[in-house]
Amino acid sequence: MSKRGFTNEKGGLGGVVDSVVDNILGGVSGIVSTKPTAKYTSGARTTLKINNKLVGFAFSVSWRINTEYVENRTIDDYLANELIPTRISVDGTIGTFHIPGQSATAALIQPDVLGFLFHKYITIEVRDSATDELLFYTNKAVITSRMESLQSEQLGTVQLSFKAIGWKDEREPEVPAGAASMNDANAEQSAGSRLVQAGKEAFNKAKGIFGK
Amino acid sequence: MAGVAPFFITGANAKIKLNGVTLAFCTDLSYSVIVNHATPVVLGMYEASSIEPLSYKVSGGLTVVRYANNVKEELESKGYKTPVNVSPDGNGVGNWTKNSGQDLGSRILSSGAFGNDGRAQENFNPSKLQNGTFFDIEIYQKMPQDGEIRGIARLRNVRLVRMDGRINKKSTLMEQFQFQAIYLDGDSFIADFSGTGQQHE
Repeated sequence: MSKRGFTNEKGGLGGVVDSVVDNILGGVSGIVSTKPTAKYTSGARTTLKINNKLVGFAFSVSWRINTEYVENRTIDDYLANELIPTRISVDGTIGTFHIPGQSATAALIQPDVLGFLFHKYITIEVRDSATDELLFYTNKAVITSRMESLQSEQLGTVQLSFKAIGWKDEREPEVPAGAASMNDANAEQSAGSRLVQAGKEAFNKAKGIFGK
Repeated sequence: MAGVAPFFITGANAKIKLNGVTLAFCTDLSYSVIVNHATPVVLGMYEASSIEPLSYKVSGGLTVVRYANNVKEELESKGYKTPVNVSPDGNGVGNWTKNSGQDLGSRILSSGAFGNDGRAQENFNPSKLQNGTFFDIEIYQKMPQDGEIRGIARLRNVRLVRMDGRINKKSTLMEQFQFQAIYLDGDSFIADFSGTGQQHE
């Protein structure tokens, strides 16, 4: 097996074969080794795609998924009777360097003044390149703000904020069993049925108080 | 022991090429690769649960004994001998190019208008900083009577980031340079690109 190092690489067909063998053996040793490997996500092993195109000049990405609930507060009960799901909202930020000629508008990521009313949603995909696991994906996102900063002795940076409708990650979203129908035997588990049940309980509680 | 030849690499049998040009009168060169890691420590454990690579950086420095422009010609014109392989143009950083020289052709070539060679000579000229290209530094082991090149290390995509000059009554003028590089290739491995296409973006 050849050494693939500096100035020792063999040329010609023999060198190509040796390189292929090197690569195959390197890959196999990575698969069969029992030694631990790095397993946590980090910026270096994360790829960001916008509209299915790799964004090579991004240096940070963050997202926040709000699953909002309101408390169902009832009379004579200092604990919330129910946490009622109300809204899912998704937003985040992307930090990038600015390569002249490749602004967010030029890349059709952010609308310009004439396309504002007609701009299509963008897709944002964050993936772990080591495992190919999807960390975050949305296909209905818009850029809501762009802040650019140019300073002496520093690289220019761009901070993009986005909002999105819905998201998914390593797990594909699924409707819980029984949630599709109130008549199903499992309907008691659905959010709607819980709300009805909570209403009944609140009513009965109130009736118990005022019925006397 | 009889019959044993000098084997190991020393400063005396090393050869350094910068920009494809032999860097003569270099007294020392150092390079380092730093791979920053995070050691996540999680609840319920004393030891780090893993060692996670975060970034890879190459840097180093070299020192050159300086001599001046036109000293060689002046001394030789008066019948003196000069050290072997000294350049009539001196060995300042501005001449670290294959196209050193004061004639028009060399000046045009060294300006970077032609060719794709690295241009270390532009790393300290403010008017050229923006367009100065990266260059390579290669370190070889010399073997007498042998044409085969024995590479030790190749620093790829280098830029000089600092220069210090130093002279005193007891020594020659030394110029010390510090550099940063993108990759360091060894004689047993190539530092391959780690990403998944970002370089094309």
